[in-house]
Amino acid sequence: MNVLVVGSGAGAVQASLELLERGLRVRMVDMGTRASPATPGLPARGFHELRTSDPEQQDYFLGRELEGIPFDDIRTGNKLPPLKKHVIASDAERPPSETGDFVLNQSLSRGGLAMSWGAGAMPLRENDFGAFPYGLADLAPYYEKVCRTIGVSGDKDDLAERLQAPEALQSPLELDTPSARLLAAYRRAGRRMRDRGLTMGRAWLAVTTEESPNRDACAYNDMEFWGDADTAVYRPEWTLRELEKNEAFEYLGGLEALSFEEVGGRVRLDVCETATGERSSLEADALVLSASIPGSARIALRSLGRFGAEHSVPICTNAYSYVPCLYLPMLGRPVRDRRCSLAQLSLLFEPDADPSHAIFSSVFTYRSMLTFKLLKEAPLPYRFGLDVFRMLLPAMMIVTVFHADEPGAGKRYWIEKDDGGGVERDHIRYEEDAAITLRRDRTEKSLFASLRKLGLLPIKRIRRAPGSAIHYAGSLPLSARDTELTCTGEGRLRPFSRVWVADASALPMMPAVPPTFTLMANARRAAHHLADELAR
Amino acid sequence: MADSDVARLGREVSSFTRYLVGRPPTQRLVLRYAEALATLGLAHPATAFDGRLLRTALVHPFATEMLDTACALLAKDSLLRRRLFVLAGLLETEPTFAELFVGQPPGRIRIAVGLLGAGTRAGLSFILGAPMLLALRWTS
Ligand SMILES: Cc1cc2nc3c(=O)[nH]c(=O)nc-3n(C[C@H](O)[C@H](O)[C@H](O)COP(=O)(O)OP(=O)(O)OC[C@H]3O[C@@H](n4cnc5c(N)ncnc54)[C@H](O)[C@@H]3O)c2cc1C
Repeated sequence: MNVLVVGSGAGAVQASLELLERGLRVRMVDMGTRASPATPGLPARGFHELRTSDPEQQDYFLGRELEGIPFDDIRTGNKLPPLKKHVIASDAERPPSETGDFVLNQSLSRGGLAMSWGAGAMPLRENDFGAFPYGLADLAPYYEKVCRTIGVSGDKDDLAERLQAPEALQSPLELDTPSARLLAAYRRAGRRMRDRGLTMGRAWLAVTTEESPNRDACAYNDMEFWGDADTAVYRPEWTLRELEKNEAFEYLGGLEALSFEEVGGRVRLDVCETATGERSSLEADALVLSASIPGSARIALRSLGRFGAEHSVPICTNAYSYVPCLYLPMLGRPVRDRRCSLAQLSLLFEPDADPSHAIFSSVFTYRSMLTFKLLKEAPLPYRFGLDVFRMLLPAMMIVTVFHADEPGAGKRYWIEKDDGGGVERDHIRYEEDAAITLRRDRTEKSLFASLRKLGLLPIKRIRRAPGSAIHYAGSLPLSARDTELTCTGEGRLRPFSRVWVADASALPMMPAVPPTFTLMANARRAAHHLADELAR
Repeated sequence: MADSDVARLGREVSSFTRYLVGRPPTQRLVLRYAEALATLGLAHPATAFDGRLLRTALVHPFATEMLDTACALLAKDSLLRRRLFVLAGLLETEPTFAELFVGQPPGRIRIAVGLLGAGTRAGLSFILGAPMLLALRWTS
């Protein structure tokens, strides 16, 4: 029995692992763009040491084309560091689109978006499963498996009490100086904060603190944001390398999956070689769509010949803001160089019992960013700006804010053929209800009122355009209702019998908590059910 | 690049670096700056106003701070601001200047005095720089 898996991202590699464990053969069809061979590597040394001694540092901090010197508005576009730039497809690489204000970042690269993700890996809470056709108990064993394969570190603190901590959770990363102080202040405030609906704890990150044969332990070089000098931060590439050692697995890069058809109890997938444009077909006993959003929905719509707005599918994304803050107790205090540059703390803010009103936040410190980028955002003369930021930087924190999102009539994705009938275009219409936007605004204000009590002063709330969170979900949603282009509770795509979905498309809503840990667990679960089905 | 252009860029980097970090530039920085302007398409002024602004800052280095302050509020996208921004990025990724950016912060009293001093200076710079900027904008 063999299965075709489309995509090589976080969802695809988990589905492949499960299928191989169940004795199936897997061929992975992937666009698979990679960084150019000329892209420099990242030296395995600390941020401070590199900054003070490496004459070539411009290559990885600013990029060889100086793409790290941003002139556009930070509210739009994506600011991946130069070494990760290839992860998000450029306008020329991706299909033409009309998305209005909606920012649609797609990856067509080997390993997908998680080659540059922030590694925030948290499970959903029981009450987040309202729209799912199954519950937390069904997903818990798969969270556990994913936790073991990607390596998640975190603490069994207040936050862990609100989530169900997997047994395989590794010991937490060391906190940096400002975050340790902030967490201590939260703990001192104790029940007062929890009564306001605020739970704070260490971030759960897919960053290993324990060394294993395939992974390094975090070296606290403070360079994790800029690139991968080692394998401590989880990337799908680490799993792909393991998969490629298995003779039952084959990676077919440089292939675009176009559409599929079920023929005689098997599936035929039409593909196109990206380098030559040559078309061919592959056959298998089943197909797993893991080409993300909108990739999987695009392939499914095309296969059914559903073009035009009347055949649209849902799309969800976290409403997202970020807020530079000044942490007053850190003013004038020294900080340690030894730190990890990813999120330090996570916050769950629940103003009431409704999970769709919850906010999830991550707290970052600005230590290993470059000061000059802040200058552009401040209406200050540069000299003054440099002086001010130099003095204030150790006390600067960035709080990111994510709101849950649910599908709605105004949030749709579809494909359309141009009049000539040739070129296909992605379309997104994304309109949020004004009352919901207002409620979110009020919730953010009360979150920051609580944080002020801990000494964290917000400087400016920067609201990003929808889609900027780069968390998308819900185009082929799991659903108990038997409707076309939804997934059964097991993950099979209706109306097909041999096609399964193993990426964020299947999540029926976008939780406030980042989605990738859940989409990986769901991909494992779908692959498990697919293997059962094939065994029958 | 013509010799006169190289000399002019050298003067510009020297003047802007002293303005930004109070130190002279290295030769390497001058070369990186010239390359960066070419890569980012900032080598030539796109408007007559940009040309006048840059020339004034070059001929009267003491005016750079005032013009930058005025531009921060009144001409954010001017070539002067863009070039200073690029230079700030290059300075920050040059080991010779790194300690200015990654060193430990001063104590709280020095921060308070520093902020007050820098704020007053920026206010004065704006009062002097704004009329200069407007004059440059309206000179034909
Ligand atoms: C900067 C950044 C930070 C992030 N931080 C976090 C975080 O902290 N926590 C979190 O949970 N999430 C985070 N995310 C989001 C997370 O990365 C994504 O949710 C996740 O990687 C999606 O995985 P996926 O498998 O669904 O799809 P993708 O990673 O998008 O992979 C899609 C794959 O499909 C392939 N593909 C697409 N179309 C085709 C086709 N037609 N034919 C063949 N192959 C195709 C591509 O090559 C790619 O390999 C972040 C993302 C970014 C960019």
